[in-house]
Amino acid sequence: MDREAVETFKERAAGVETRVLEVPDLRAALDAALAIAAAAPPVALLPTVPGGSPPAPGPKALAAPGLAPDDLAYLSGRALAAGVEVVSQGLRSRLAGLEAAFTVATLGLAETGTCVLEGETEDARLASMLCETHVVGLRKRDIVRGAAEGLAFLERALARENNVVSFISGASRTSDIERVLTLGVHGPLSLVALLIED
Amino acid sequence: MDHKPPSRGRLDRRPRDFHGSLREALADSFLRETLDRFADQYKANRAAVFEGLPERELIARVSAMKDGALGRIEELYGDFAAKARAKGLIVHRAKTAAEAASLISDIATRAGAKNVIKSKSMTAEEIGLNEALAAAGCDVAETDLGEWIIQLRHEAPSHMVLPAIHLSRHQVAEEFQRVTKAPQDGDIGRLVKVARRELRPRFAQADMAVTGANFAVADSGTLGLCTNEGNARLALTLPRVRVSLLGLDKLVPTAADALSILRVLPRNATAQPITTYVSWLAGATPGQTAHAVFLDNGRTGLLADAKCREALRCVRCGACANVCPVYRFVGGHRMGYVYIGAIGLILTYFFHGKGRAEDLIGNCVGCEACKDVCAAGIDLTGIISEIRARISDANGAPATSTLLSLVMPNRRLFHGLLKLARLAQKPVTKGAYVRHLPAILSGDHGFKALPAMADRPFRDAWPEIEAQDLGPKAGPRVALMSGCAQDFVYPAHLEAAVRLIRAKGGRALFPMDQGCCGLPLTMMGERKAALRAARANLLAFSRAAGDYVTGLCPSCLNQMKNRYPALFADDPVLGPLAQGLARRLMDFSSLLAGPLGYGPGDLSDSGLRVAYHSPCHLGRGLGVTGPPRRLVALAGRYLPTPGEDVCCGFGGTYSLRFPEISKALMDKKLDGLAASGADLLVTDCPGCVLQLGGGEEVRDKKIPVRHLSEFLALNLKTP
Repeated sequence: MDREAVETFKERAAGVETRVLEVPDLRAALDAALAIAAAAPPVALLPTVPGGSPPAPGPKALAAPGLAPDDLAYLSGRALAAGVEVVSQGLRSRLAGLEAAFTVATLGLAETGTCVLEGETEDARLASMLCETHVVGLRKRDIVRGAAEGLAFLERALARENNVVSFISGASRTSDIERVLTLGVHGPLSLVALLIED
Repeated sequence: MDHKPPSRGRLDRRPRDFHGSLREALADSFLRETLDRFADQYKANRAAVFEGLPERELIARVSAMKDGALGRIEELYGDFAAKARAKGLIVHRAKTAAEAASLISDIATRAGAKNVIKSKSMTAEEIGLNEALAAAGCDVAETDLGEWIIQLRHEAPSHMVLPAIHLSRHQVAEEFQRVTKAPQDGDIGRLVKVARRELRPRFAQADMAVTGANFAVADSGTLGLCTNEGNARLALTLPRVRVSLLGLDKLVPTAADALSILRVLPRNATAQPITTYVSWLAGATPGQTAHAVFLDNGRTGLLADAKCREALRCVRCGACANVCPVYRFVGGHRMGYVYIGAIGLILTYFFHGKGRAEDLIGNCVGCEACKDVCAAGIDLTGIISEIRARISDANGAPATSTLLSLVMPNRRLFHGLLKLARLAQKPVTKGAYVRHLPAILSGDHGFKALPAMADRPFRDAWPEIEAQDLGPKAGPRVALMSGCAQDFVYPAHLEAAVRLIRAKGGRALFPMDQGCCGLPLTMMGERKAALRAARANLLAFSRAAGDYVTGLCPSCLNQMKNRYPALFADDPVLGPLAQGLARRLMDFSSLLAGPLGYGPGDLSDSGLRVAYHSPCHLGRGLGVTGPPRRLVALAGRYLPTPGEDVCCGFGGTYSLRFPEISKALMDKKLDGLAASGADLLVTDCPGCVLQLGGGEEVRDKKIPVRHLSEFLALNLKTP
C-alpha cells in the first residue's frame, strides 16, 4: 500500500466535496452504505414521465448491483433488519427513489481524488447516477498516485471489448447559473468514498 | 414543451449593425459585471490549480501530441474505425455539416426515435443538429443545464463551457416559471433542482441520446467524454440508441495522449483538477446500438493550410474567451458565431465562411492573452492576423487602409507626411495634446485626448544628440529602434533612453534607414505592405553595428523578434538576417537591468507611489515581466494594482475601429488606478502611454502617465 498516495487521495477527494470514511473490510463497507441509506432523509422522488407525479414513497432503498452472492446475502439480511430495500438488479425499472447506491472501485487516483470504476454493467452505471448518495468502496491498496500511474491500467482496460471505465471525482455538479457551484444536477447529490483497509 | 420555430439566437445575433450590437452589450450591466468577476476569479483559480505543476511542459506536450496526430489523421481514423467496429460501434464519417445532420436524423428515423436527449456538444451546434432533428419529427431536450436554459430561450451558447453565462438567475427563474407553470424564485440551488426534476423524465423516456466527445482513442476504439453534471454518463446509459458526434480533430493515438489532454483541459476550462465524470467507452455497450459520427466540415481543408492548421490542436477548453479583454466586455455572442473566443473567430472563418467571420475577426485587439493561456499552445493571434489578411486580400481593403499601406512601407513618403501632419495640426493643438479632434476622429473617439506631433522628430534631432557624445565607450553599443510613435510623437522618451544608456558607459546608435516595423499594416490585413516594411527595417538594422538592438515600443520589438523570422523563413538571405536580428534584440528594461547593470544606487528615490501597466507585447509577447517592475522599484514605491497585465485597449488601429470597446478597456484600467492611491502610472509602450495618458487628460483628477525611460532618466543620480 502506498501510504502517501492514500493520504493525498483523502486530501484531494475532500477538495471536491467527497466524504471520505475508513472501514476495515468489505462487510464493514456494506454496513456503512446501509447506514447511509437508512439515515438519509426520504428521497425527493423524481417523476419518471413528463408532467407526471413522482412515484409513491416506499421504504428506503439501497442499490447494490454486482455484489458476490454471499456479500449480497449478508447485506440483504442486515437491510431487512434496518427496514431498507436492497436493489441488486433491474435498475432500469427503478429510475427514482434510491436513497443510496453502493459500487466498488477498481482503482483510486490520488492526484485528483478520483474513483475509477471499471467494467460497469448497465445496472452499476444506472445505480451510481440515479441515487441521491453514491457510496464507493475503494481498497487502499488500489490507490495510485496519479493518472500517469493509472495509465497502464487504463490501457489494459480499454483494450478489452465493450468495456466502460469511469473516472468519478465528487458528486454531480454545475456552475451554469451565475457560475455558482451547486451539487446534484442529474447525478448524485453527494459522493462518499469508503477506504477499505484490507 | 412548446417549441417556437428554431430561430436560434445566433441567426439573429450577427447584427447588421455590429457596432450597435457592441454598444448594446457594453450597456448590459449584468453581463459586464458577471464577465468582469469571472475574468478575475478565473485568473486566480487557474493559477492555483496549476500550482506545483509544470504548466508550460504540459501544454507543450499537448501541442506536440496534437501536431503528430493531425499529421496522420487518416491513419488514426482508419485505426479507430477498425478497432471500434470490431467492438460493435457503428462508425460514420460526414464531409459537411448538412451531411452529418441528415446522417443523425436518419439514424433517429430508422430507429423510430421520437424523444432525443442531448448532452452538450459544440459540434452539434456547428451542424445545427437540433433544427435537423426537429425537422425529422424528434422532440429534442438538451440536458446540460446551461444548454437547456438557452434552448428554452431559443438562444445560442455564449461560452463554449458555460453556455448561459450571459444570463442572470432571475432570467433563468423566469424561464423555469414558464416551463413548470409554478412560481420560481432566484435561489440557484432550487433552480438546479427544477432542472433535475424536469429533465429526469426526459432521460427516462428518451429513445436516443446524442453526445459530443472529447477524445477518440485510435488504438482501442474508445470514446472519452468529460462532464461535470453527469448528464452524458446518464445519457449514454439509458436510451437504446446512442450517437456521439465529434470532429476528426478529436482523434488521438493512445490513451496516454488522451490523458495528456485531460491534465490540461479541465484546469484550463474551469480551474478544476479534473471534471467530475470522465467516461471511457471502448466500443459499443451491451443492450445499446452505438454510433460515432466523425465530422470533417472544413477540417481536412484546414489541415492542408500550413499557416493555420495548428488551430485544429484546440481542445475546446474556452480559456481564450476567459482571458480575452474584449470578450470580457462584449460577451460571447459578439465573439464568435458558434465557437466562441479567439478560437471562435478562427473557426468561424474556416467552418462557417468568410461572410460570417468578417465583422468578428476585427474584434481581436491583438493583446496575445489568449495565446499565452491556450491549452494547446496555438498561436491564436498570429492566425487571426493571417485571416484578416486573407479577408482583406479577397475584399480589397478599405480606403484608409489602402492609403496607409502604400505610404507606410515607404519611409521617406511616410515620414514626409507625418511632418506635414504636424504643420497641419498647428491651429488645433493645445500644449502636448490636440485641442480639437479632426472630424473623422470626433464622436466615439473623444474619450481620450490625442497627443500632438512633436515639433521635432527624434530622427531630425539625432545628429545633434549623437554629436554630444563621441568619445570611446567601455559599455555595450545599443542600436535604437524608434518606432513611429516615439520618433514623431514622443521623442522625449528616446532622448531619455539615450541618457540612460550613456550614464552606464554605453553607446547609443540610431540607424537612419529604419521605418515602420510593419505591425500596424499586419493588423489591417495589409500583408504585402507589411512585408515590404519589415524587409526595409530588417536591412537597416542588419547593416547597423551594435551589440544589442532595443527600443521603447514592445510592439515593434515583438514584431521584429517573434514575427520577422517566420515572415522570412523561406528567404535564404533575409531568413538568417532575421534570425540574427532576433538574437541581438533585447527589450529596454531587460537591457537596463542586465547588460547595462542598473541596480540600487544608480537612481534616486522619487518618493512616489508608482503603479505599473504591463504592455501586452512586453509581458506576453516578449515574456518580460520582472525587469520593468524591479526598475520601477529602484526609483519609487512600486504599488501593485489589479489587472496590471490586462490590455489598455489601444491595440494600434483597434482603438480607431472599435472605440466603444477601447474606451471600456481604458476606463476599467483608469478607474482601478484612481482607486489604488498611486501618484504616477509608469508603463513602457508608447501606445499605452498614448491611450492611458490621453484618457487621464480628459479626467477630472489626472494621474500622470510616464514611459519607464522618462521616469528612470528623471531620477538618474548622474544625469
